[in-house]
Amino acid sequence: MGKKSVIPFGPQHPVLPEPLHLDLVVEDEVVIEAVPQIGFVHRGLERLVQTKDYNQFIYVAERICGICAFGHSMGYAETVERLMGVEIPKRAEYLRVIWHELSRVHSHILWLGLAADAFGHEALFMHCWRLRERVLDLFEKTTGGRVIFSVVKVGGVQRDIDKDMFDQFISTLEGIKDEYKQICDAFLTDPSVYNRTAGVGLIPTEDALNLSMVGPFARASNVGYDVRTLGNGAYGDLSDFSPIVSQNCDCYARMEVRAAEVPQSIDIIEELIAKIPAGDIAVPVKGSPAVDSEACNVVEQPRGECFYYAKGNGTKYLDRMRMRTPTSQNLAGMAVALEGCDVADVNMIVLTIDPCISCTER
Amino acid sequence: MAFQQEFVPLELEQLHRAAAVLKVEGWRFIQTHAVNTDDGIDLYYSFMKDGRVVNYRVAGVQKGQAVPSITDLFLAAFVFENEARELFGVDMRDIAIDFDGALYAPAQAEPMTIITPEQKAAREKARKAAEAKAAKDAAPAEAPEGAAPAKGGFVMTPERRARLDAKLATMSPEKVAKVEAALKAREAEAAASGSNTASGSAQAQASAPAADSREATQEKAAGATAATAAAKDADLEAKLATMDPAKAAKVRAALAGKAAASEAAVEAAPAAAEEPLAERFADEQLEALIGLMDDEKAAVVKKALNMKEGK
Repeated sequence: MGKKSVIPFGPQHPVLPEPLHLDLVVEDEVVIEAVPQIGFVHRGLERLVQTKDYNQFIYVAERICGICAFGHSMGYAETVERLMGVEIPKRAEYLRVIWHELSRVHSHILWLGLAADAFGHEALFMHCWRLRERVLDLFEKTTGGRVIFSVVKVGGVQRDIDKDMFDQFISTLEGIKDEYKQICDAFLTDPSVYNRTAGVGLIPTEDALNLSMVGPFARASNVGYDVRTLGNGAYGDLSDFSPIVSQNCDCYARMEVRAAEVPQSIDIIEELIAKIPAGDIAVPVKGSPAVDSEACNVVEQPRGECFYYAKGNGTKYLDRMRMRTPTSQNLAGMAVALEGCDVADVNMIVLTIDPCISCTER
Repeated sequence: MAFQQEFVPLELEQLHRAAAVLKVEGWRFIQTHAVNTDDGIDLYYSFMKDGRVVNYRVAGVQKGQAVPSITDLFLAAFVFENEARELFGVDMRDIAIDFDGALYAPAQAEPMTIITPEQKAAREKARKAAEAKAAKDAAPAEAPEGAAPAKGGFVMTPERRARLDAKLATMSPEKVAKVEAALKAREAEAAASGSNTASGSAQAQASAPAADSREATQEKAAGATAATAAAKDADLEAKLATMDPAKAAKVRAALAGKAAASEAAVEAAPAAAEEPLAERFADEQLEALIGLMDDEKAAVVKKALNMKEGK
């Protein structure tokens, strides 16, 4: 038996875009326990809901995280709409889902780039991020922003997208498909990448279920849960949707699932653009949430299920707003995945849960 | 499989047992969060199965009251339980990964329990306004059971008159005149339609639209709110009095229907959330469920339960 020691990992580490600290208890080169520590970017945004009214808070909600910005504003707006019994126009539902899926495309491509960087493939990282820029351009043209969009409001959306712009969406997304396929081939067929990721950070399906894992992290362990199957909003109008799962349960599977979700999102966008109904993009919302009214909601963010809860108190300020983000749910899974791995694999495993610490701490 | 939400009350003593049952039944743990209330901290435990989200609410947890951790069953809860302790001061016990107050290490203790006097006053005002509205909405429902007032519609009792006088004292002379005129019209109308039971019972419901349009004014002045509502009520009555009787009866019937529908919706909501919790989380039920599990899984749940119960 080797000597036990503790290696601190993070909060500043080349593989981590955000601060996460791990105390790795190692025996020789094997991790026997990993204790996560967060709390470096806690901003108290849930508290802020008591001093920003329910219309203003949407701008706070989307600043929870730069990558999931759209998803948070959509999830928050849907929760408040459910709280107040507001039904939004169908066109607004479609526009929200189109932008949300576009967010998933850019988030997954961003993650693939980070993964490439983690296993030392810097050219691949560069190509991923170059491709992502074209998706961000679509955001800029339709919302005016590349990171924070501010297009969702309680009752609908702020801006419409016209037919010419939708045509640009389709031409851009079709245009990136070939390049994306080449990039995916590098991830999924390159033997050096395969050797680095296959069999690493295993979480069997049963453990994934016991640990309540969500998102691509869970789907890579063959858990077929995806909030989009519940058919909220425009997702209910999709002709066919089934979650992408993998049975390999390792880092390679997590890459495989995310890589396959990008074309799936592009298909969803194209289908909704073909089906989008004409009409209003918002309804006026008046009054305040009733005293002691409560509502909850789930949204499939790029990293997995995000849970929202809101409680009204009769004033225009909410009593409580809760966002349970996918990463906070997946931290337990990450700690378990790290047990028994080599120290050299820690960065790869940590990255494959796609941790979003800003979301987790809010 | 569509999304459904439910909020179900749960006793603190049942919490850990409930979590064990839900685990055995295959519910997925979503999250835990706390809400600061006047009666203590409400803890919410959310679980999902087949698109159904059930939020179990443990209400009024007091400072120093021990809350058992469910991390022995659902490890993913460790972040939320640490959060509840640091931000709300909930005394969480036996968390599997315990940060011991160093998760966020906030500069101020229990920051989420601090409510400014202004926030408190605004909430109190909104609550009173909601209670007044609920009382007003509830009154017409009882009216048909009474003998004389139901038949004759509006009756000015001495108490009503006293309340109205107090409100009129705060209003402008023009408004007072308007209210008085409307009252006279209302009394005349009540006398005229004394034998008409359908419009008589519907008449009492006429406050519904006034209550709806009142929402925006709730936050402006609590004292003026009730008076404004009374004036609007009276305005509506005055308008109805000037209308063709047949048309007025139709409007009243529509309003009564609307009020009845909203009442039915309010009654249906808690009924849907009710579950026989005591039976569901009873010993026999739990034993039966554990019996259905494979040995390894059953051993984990039994061990967790025994540890909690000090066996």
